[in-house]
Amino acid sequence: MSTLPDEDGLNWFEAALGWLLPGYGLIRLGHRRRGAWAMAAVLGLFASGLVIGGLDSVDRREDGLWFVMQAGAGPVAFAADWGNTRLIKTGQYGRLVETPPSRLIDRGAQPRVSTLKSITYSNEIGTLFSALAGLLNVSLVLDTLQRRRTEESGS
Amino acid sequence: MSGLAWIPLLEPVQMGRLWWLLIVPLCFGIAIVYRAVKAPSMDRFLPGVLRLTANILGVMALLAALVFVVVYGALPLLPAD
Repeated sequence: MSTLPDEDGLNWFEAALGWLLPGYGLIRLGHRRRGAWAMAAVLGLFASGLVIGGLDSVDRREDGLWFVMQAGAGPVAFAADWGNTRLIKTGQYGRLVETPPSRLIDRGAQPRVSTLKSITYSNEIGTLFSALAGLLNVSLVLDTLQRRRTEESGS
Repeated sequence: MSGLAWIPLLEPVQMGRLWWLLIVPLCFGIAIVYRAVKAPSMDRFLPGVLRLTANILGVMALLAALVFVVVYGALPLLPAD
């Protein structure tokens, strides 16, 4: 099966759907198995990142560059950042404690941090999982953009 | 934090010394998406994914062994000064 673009041009609508829900753009193009596997992989990696590092592993303000990659996974990244901001950083869950003085040197550091803030391996690996999920979905979106529509059952 | 009191998503996982084993699901996920983009057909998709995962892990293990030999074998032989 060719992966050349349709004669009418690029699949912008399906690509946008693919960003909103990873893999769904491929499913809309008729590549059901391909899209379902991709969806399971991207959402599975993102969810694993959240389970490993907690919601704090997605942080638009403190880890901006990582968030650029995580945002590739679609609205789930923004939802996770919203959850982090609303549930953990406000102290709704856990307690807020004084920030260690060394962190106050950073201009972006908050004066008080949550006891649920993830650190060390948990945070690093959780962030890595979700960022890779975002990058992989970007490659899926680019693939969706130029993949030929099909109705083949085994595609 | 006790494992029994762990609240998924709100609290990070307390990982022990086996944190590096997470490379296996990471490579598996990457292999799925790679094959989903690159494979011309979906026939024998899962065996292809497993083979690619094994290849990635094998190469990583070889690189780890190489670094181990350099750090613990070759570097101590260098003069300290």
